[in-house]
Amino acid sequence: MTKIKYYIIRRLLLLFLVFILVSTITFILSHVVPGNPAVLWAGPHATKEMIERATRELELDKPVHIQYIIWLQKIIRGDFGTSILTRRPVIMDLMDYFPATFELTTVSMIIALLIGIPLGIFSAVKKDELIDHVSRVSSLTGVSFPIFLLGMLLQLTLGYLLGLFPLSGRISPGITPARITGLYLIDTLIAGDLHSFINVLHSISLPALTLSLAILGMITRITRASMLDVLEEDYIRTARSMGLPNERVLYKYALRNALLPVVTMSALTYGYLLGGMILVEAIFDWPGIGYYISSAIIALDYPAIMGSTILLTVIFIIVNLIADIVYAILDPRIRY
Amino acid sequence: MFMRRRTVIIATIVVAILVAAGAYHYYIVTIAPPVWEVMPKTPMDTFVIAYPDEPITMDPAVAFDWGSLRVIRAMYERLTDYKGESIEEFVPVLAERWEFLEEGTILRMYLRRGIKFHCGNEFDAKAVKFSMDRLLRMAKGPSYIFEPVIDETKVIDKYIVEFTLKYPAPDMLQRFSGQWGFYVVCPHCVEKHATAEDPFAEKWMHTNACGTGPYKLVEWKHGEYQKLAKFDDYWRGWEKPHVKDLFFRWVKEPSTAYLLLKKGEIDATTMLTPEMFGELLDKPISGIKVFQKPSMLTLYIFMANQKPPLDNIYLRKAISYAYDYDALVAALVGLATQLRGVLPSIQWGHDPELPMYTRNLEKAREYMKLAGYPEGRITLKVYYVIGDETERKACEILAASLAEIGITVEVVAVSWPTLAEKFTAGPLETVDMYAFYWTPDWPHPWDWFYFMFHGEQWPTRLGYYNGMYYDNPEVNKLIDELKTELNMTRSIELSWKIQRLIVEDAPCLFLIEIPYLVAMGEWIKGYQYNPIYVYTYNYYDLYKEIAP
Repeated sequence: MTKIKYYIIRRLLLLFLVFILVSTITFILSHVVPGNPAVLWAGPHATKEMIERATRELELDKPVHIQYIIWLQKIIRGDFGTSILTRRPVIMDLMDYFPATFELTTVSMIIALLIGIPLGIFSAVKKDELIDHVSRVSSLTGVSFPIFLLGMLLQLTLGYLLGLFPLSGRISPGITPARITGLYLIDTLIAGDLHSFINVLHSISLPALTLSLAILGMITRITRASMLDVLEEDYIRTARSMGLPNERVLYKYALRNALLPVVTMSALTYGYLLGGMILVEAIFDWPGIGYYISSAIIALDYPAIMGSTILLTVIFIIVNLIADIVYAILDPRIRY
Repeated sequence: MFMRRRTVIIATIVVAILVAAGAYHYYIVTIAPPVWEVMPKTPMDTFVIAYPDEPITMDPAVAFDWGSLRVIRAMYERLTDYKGESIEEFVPVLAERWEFLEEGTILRMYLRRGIKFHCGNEFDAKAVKFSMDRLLRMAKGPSYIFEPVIDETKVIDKYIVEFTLKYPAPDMLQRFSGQWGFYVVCPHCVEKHATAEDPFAEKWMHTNACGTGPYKLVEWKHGEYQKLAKFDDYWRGWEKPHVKDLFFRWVKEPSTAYLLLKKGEIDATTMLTPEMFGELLDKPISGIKVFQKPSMLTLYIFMANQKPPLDNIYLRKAISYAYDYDALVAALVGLATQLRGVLPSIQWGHDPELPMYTRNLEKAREYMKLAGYPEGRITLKVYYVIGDETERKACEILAASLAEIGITVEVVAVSWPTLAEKFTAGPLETVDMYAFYWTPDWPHPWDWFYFMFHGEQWPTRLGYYNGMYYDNPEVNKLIDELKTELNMTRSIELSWKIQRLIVEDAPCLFLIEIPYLVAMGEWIKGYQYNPIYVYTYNYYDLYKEIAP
């Protein structure tokens, strides 16, 4: 396991490199788009002078490379700057919006994995039997169904017509969990406030269901395909011919190996989803980061764009790092 | 037949449940019928609205967006307000009465006594002077409304304040009563939180508030909602029925807002699409009422008056005659009407006799010949702000209309900062055309004419909004005259004259005036519309009552 330690250190060093690369590219890309965000900062009816003053205040009058260096200096000091759109420190915006996305994505991912992996295994084991067909049809539907349509349908049926779940929002207005982690499910549990916890759980149901249905199909299909591949392998046939019980062959030898691609895929999806799902957020008024980032891009809110980029880069790398560690645990042959 | 005992028991239980459910249903439906199909799910002393735009700041000297204003109106107050639905009559609020002295160059306000700020401090003339000085010195957002007219604010007595004006402005009370603009803030709280780098306590005022208004800010959950609660010591008192708590819920999708409304989970919203409002008006749902009121919101498509090929007046006229105005009205499910001139019909100075362009392809083709483009063969670009459905429809109808006279129009969606950078670039560098809304900050025709059509207001000169680079010396002169004209009849004449000249020059397409629409639960009583106070509510007067 010490070798894994070196590996993690190497990856963290790599993180620094990736960070420089990503931030440079994002900075250049967002600055070549025409448009002057100072117009927003100065507000409507601003005179030419007011806009010029705003341009200076935001240091937009300097050449792009100088702006980048100024930005880097601030970042090193931990200063993410002030959002042009919301006029708050970017770090505060991220602290408000990211936990919401993190909570929703994690819950959806857990649901998708808990249902998807067993479903995939069953489909592989009972290949071309009824359960396989059912799972195939439902997976393909889930994957190919546009997520906004799925979200609106669930909102209309389960939320509006049947009234089983709240239509939108992260919590009923008026309930305020004490802020500890920013994750309401955890905060309410820490506070021991069961009533609020149930309210949060109730509110997260529809968006989480929507998101997990969209991921579920993919996880099921990959588990099934990879399981089928592994079941064809020589060592499985050997194990079977040695007379090992079927369950043991399946779960100890086949599944462990079959899970590797599932882990990769899930980690990538998870990292990707943590960037926010703007459609789901919009339909269910989920105060997540996707909506924040997209408004920032539309308004050319450079500090917010850059701040979110850094956050997402770091998250993505960490998630993949965790996936690599899980690899090593699943398959001891993998050495870093 | 022999039935097993267990089956009998289960069957009995099922029957009992069914009977109970049936009885309950009967009770709900016939014995205690709800007054409406849609009933409020929110508490009776709470007013909940859905809004599409997150507020930016709580500081009235900075705020210049509807989202912020919506909340600020509940917490801060003005010296005067418009009366009812009128845009010409005023009622005293923080001022008890007022008078103009020295031939209209001094406005003296007598202030109401015994008013307290949220923090408990007393409201007086010093607070008024402090707020005005703060607004003008910060020179942000709404300061431009007062900067050109107010020379000095003087405290005459504890409850008398005098504004020395730069010229006898005919629209002073309009400026004071407007929704953007002058709100009295608590000097004590600002001073308490001021620092050397932040002398106006902008940081504190950004997320906190201390005014004289009926509600106090309790909670601001970014991206979710804001909660306000009643201010116990409010000077008008709480004896009559009022809503005590306000909830502003940030809803991103109109479809979600529509469902929330139909479930009774919100009390009011303006954020539905024209299609949804149309549906509610066509097939009313019991329990939901829709107010459809004439508003001051107008939509134009600006043309580049100095840049070829649109510097050619005949080409601009051809386009004005080719545009299918009725198609646009129809695309907005008939909720809008075509503009007649610059001003909407409820603004005094509107000219009902003004000759106006209507779709006439023959005339359009004649003008194309005069312009030197008998075959058309021109390509133009029209821009609109990404995400604005009304603008998108207006631009697409432009493309379809102009195709008939041989002009190809490319419709481009961009963000506002990008569009602003393009049209401020210069008279020859600007875009061919772009869709543009106007809504006045105070209801005086000068607000429309000056900011959009005065030569001084070119983005490359003093202004910003005359992005069509229109400049007609005669029009400029008349607009300047209108600015200081104190006689109403003369002002109206001037407005008519100005509009005739502008329409003759066809600098832009005069598209539509858009009505103000708000959907509300039938249980909300006391709502008062005013065309200037749009996208906010008269919160304090509202109360809930379940009675048809």
